[in-house]
Amino acid sequence: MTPVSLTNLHKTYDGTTPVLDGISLEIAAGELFFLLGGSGCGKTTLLRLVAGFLAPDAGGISFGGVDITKQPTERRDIGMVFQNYALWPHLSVAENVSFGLEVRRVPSSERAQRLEEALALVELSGYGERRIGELSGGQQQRVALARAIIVRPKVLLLDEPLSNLDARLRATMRQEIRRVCKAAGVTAIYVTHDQAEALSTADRIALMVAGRIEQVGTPRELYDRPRTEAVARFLGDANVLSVSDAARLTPGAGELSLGRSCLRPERIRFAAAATVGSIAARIVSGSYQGDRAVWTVAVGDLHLTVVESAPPVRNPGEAVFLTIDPADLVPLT
Amino acid sequence: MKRGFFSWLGYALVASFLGIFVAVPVGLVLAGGMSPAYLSEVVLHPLYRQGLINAFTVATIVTIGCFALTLPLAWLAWRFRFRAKGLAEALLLSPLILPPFVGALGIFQIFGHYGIINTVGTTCGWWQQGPDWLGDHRLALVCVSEILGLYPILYLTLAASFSRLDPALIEAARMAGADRLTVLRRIILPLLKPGLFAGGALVFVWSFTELGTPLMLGFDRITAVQIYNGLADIQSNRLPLALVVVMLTVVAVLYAGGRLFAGRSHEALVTKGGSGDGSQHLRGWLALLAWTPFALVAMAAAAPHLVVVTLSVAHDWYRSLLPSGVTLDHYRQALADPQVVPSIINSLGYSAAATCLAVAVGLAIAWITVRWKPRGATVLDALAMVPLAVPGLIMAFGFLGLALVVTIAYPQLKPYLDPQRNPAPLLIIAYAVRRLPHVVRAVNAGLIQAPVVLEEAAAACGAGPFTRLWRITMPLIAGSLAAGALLTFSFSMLEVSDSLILAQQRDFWPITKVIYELAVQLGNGPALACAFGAWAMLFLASCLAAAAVFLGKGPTALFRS
Amino acid sequence: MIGKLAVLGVIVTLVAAPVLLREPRQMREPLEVREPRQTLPAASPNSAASPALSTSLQRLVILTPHGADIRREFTLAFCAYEHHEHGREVEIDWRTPGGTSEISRFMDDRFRAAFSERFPEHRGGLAGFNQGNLDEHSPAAERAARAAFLASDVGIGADLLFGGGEFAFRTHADKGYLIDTGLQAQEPSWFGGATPIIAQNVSGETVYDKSGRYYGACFGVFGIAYSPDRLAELGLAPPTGWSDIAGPAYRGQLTLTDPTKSGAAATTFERILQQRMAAQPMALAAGWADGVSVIKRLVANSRWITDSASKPTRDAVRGDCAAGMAIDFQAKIESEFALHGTQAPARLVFVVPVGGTSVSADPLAVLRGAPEAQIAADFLHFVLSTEGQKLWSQRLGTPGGPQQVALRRFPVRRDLVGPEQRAWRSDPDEDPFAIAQGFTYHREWTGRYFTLINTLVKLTALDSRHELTLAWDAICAAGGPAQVPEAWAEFCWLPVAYDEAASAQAELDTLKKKDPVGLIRRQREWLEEATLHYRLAAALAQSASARAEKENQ
Repeated sequence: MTPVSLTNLHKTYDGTTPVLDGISLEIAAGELFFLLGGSGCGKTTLLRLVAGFLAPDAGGISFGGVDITKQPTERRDIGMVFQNYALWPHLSVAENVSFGLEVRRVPSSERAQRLEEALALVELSGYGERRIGELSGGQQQRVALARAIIVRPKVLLLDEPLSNLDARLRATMRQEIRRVCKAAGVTAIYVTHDQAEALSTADRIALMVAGRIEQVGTPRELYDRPRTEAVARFLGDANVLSVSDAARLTPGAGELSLGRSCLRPERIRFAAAATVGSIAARIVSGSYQGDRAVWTVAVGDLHLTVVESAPPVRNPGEAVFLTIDPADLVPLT
Repeated sequence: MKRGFFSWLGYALVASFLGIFVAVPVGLVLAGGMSPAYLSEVVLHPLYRQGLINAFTVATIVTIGCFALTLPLAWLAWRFRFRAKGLAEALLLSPLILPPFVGALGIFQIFGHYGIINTVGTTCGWWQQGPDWLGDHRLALVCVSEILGLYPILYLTLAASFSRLDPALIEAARMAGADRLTVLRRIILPLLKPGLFAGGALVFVWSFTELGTPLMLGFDRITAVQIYNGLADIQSNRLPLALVVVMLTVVAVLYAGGRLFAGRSHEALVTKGGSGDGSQHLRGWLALLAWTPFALVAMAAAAPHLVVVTLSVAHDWYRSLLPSGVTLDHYRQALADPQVVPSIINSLGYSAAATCLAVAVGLAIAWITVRWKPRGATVLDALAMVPLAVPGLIMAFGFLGLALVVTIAYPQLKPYLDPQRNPAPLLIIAYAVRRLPHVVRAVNAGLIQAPVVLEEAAAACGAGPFTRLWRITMPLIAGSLAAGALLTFSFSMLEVSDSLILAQQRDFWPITKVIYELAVQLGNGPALACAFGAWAMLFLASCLAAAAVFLGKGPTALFRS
Repeated sequence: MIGKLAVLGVIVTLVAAPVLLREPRQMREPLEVREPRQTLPAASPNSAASPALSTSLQRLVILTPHGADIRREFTLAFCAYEHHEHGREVEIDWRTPGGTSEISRFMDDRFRAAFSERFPEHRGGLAGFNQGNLDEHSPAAERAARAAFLASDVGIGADLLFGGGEFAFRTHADKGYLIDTGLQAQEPSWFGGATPIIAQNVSGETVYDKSGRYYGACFGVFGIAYSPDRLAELGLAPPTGWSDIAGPAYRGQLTLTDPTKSGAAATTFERILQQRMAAQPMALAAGWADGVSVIKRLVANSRWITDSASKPTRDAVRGDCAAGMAIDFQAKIESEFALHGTQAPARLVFVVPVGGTSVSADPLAVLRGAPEAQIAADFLHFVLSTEGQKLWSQRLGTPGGPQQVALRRFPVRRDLVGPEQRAWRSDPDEDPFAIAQGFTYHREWTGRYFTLINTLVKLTALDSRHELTLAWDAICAAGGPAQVPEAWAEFCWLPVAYDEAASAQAELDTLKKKDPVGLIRRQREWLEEATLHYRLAAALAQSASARAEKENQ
């Protein structure tokens, strides 16, 4: 159980293009910490810095208080799960998984036992003699996971491990990974661009944009209380309102904030009829998704996205009334 | 990843090796030729101008001919599967093990005035006597000989390029409505472009610098032969060195151009498994139809050598279609000749040592340029490729110069570096340096196809650099290493120019030199040379077969980079 | 599994075959290098663990360009001779670094190394130790080194040099590499008298060095080899001399050896010049020009110009050329071999060109610092004695003759070419001395102009061969030189007349030393001039032909 501390990390490519611009993070021991962001935001670079494949231009990394910035990868005592699994094709499953133990010169009896445990943990018992080419994508990913945790690493790094799997499998594997990590009690840093993955699996998330950290917090904190527009828009849909728009939508609430605010679509309610504080609006279009519908509603010239569960039929052009709780407007910086 | 002390030590060792054994010999030769006076003479002199024009002409014809020959065959091999395809490809690649100057003995029998072709023609009534092929049609013979000798290299390059094509791309084009020809023109050829340029540049350069073929066919108005002819007089007339400078400049430009067009070294297109390689299976007479071009080309290429084997058991062969009697005497006498056993031992020793050296250095260079990429890696790579461009004789000559320079400065090294005393170290290094480009290219390709992430994964598991190299990288590139080692071994066993120049003492003669000496003896000398040559070919073929069998790979896979 | 075993089996068989077939020891030429002597190469990789040399077995080391046949015959004969005459067990270790030029370089290198090792104090004068032409203007250090060398027994670990051109031996002797063993004093009957058994000079060529440093071992004759089958196809009578094969009938039918690459060919070409000059001894310049035109026509008639002195012979016996310049014994051996013991008509015939060739000696000599000087002197004595000389010229199976292969050379001893030995000789009807009588070599005519001749031939014939051939073809098509005298004059153009030869040679020498680029430029100028003249010749001849055609219509 090792906490990880990143201090003011900088990295540029070719000396000109900054990829990471002053990243500082404190990750608690045993935490399943997510780095979330779009492509090019620097999350993979950050992970590779922690792994030791790249060296930072400035700043430091420490595991459990020990500065490991100058240590080569092989001495950092980490485990890593790669996006395309990176299993060695010329070795069997057992050889792949126990490679780290061999390198650490663990005696063979102990190796065999830990191999059993690791395979059992990822539910691949009995697959030891299989060749990598015979496995499906999901099975390969589990082998990769087993290989990474069998060495009881201080830190487990995962680089978009599920992006090569189909959606169904992804959903199952997310929970698998969380279960395995918690069972192993290892500090994990997980990189992904998939916000659903992050929201459902993480203990805490750091959202990155253009080499900087926009916000760090629990999934709920990030979703319910986004601090910036970038965060708001990345995690689910968001209605970003200017001051005047906000005032228009919450008559009688007075001055709420000095700047823009975010309003989640599912927080907007349809009123049966005009009530106090309700606003007149018009349906512009809608997309029915079975359990819910996503409506585009116009209030004057302002278009809002509204999500309604168990939706009735509403036709474009229909007049409706919306109820908005001022407390649901999250101020953005 | 950070590189430690041993990495930099390896870098230094490799750089020193290349510096001393590639840069210095070539530099010595170039320094001799870099004078404006000599260079202008080269341009003004009608003989040397003509020599350059001829060299270009031959190289152009040979390159076009090789493409015409190998492109359809490579496409066939990629597009279709048929029975014994591996055998067809192995036969096609047979010139790789057929020593060219042994083939010369066969060429005289085929194209001589009373040789096979003219005898056939006279018997069939095409002509009274038949043309003087060797006298009047030398340029054509040189081109045909070189095409039949060089096409395997191009075939290997093209086959590798084809194998990297993603069938999904072609399927997408077909579904968009393109017909076969359009697909070929707009999709396949552009994707193949890097391979085509690389292979074409290679063939052109080899043909441009080829010495053996025009020399043995007496075509001496060509640059390489002019250089060779001037070497004996080199102390007093430095002009051949200026020719070397011109030749090297042309080659450098060609390579640079080839690299430019070929694009940056590309990652292999990793194909998603499952949809197969897209090739069609041929059965029955269609399979035979597919087999035919392979067999025809292989036979044409091997014809001189088949004739050599026939000569080796022939009692007499004069003005007749077939020899007039069969005898094993030539074999008995040739193999019993007291020069033979020592030369076999010599060749085996030199080739084995050279292979180890070439593989070690080549692996280091490839790893430095593909994986590590420190400062100066491109210089190392370029230096490693230099021996491809420099004609064999020039390198051998450069080695002589190097030995002289070193032994003057450090006389205590004389017993090791003086070719008069003991040419073995120089020969071994010469062979290794000569084959280094092939090893580097083979390992380069292997490393490119072995993704870095596999080594990163090993590092993440706690493996240090040596463990990574030994347990992960080497097994993954074992095929490429084996290919490079085999190429080095087989070429070294058949190496000619270094052997002729550096092995000056009979005790140290390799096989090729003994065959050469036998061939110019009077009486049954040529027959003995044929017998020993046939033995050498058979021996080499068995070694390669053994390698294939023990490595468990088919023949093309062996050589495929 | 079967595949693996099969392949391994094949490899083992292939490697075993030569080992098993190797000739048994007593017949084998000793090839393994025993313990290294002085500056000879260290033990080669193939020397087996050699048994210790017994003191009664003595080893002679001989440097030679000769082929295996000669080496074998002399080994067998000399070792038997030593055993019978002196009760000595002798073994010969032949060193074959290559041809004459390779051996020369080898000797230069080794003597230089040996001298610097023995006389480190003379390092400063190292450049002069083997210079025979030092005078009072030369640096003192060099003269001292030279004196030290000549007074010493510095050696290279070899006892004898056996074979090469007379010119090469003269050079080695001048350098001081060869020594006099006192053979002339030992056997005065061989060398003295009005018609000595071994003449010092035959047809103007040196047979042995007056100071006794080298001796001709056998004679060789340069001539023409032709293919009767090809001549029959062409409808030609057999050639008798150089002018025959220089004629229009032989266009595209000859194989020639490049005189700038082969000493033998250079000698032959020089003899052609001499023959022409001897025909007009009062007008040497005309003879010289005539000779050069013969050479040009030979080149124009060639289909192949080669480096190798034996290729014309091999081409002719295969029928690839109608005729070529050849050395007598090579042609004879090749011709006999081609018969394969049958009575079939010969595929190759050798002709001594009438009046146009000399008889050249192929010498041997004892080297300075020979480790086994006594045995070396014995070998020299043996080769020149009747026992040794019989090996060259007698047939297989005759008493005193060769045991495995007839060598087909002429002995230098006059007493072996008489009628008594006819029955035993391979070529009983040929007498080198008779051949030599038809020709006298006048060294003063062309001997000094060796480089000039080579340069002329190279530029006006070899390098401009293409244009030369076209001109000759045009002249022949017009009916021959007599029909187109202007074209013929252009064809025969020379940049340097005989009278200017001395100054031209001097100019070339100076340029070579001082201005190598200038030399190349000069040569290019001559080449370009020659090309122009030949193009003109072709044009003149063609227009003359065209005119003649029009007149005939």
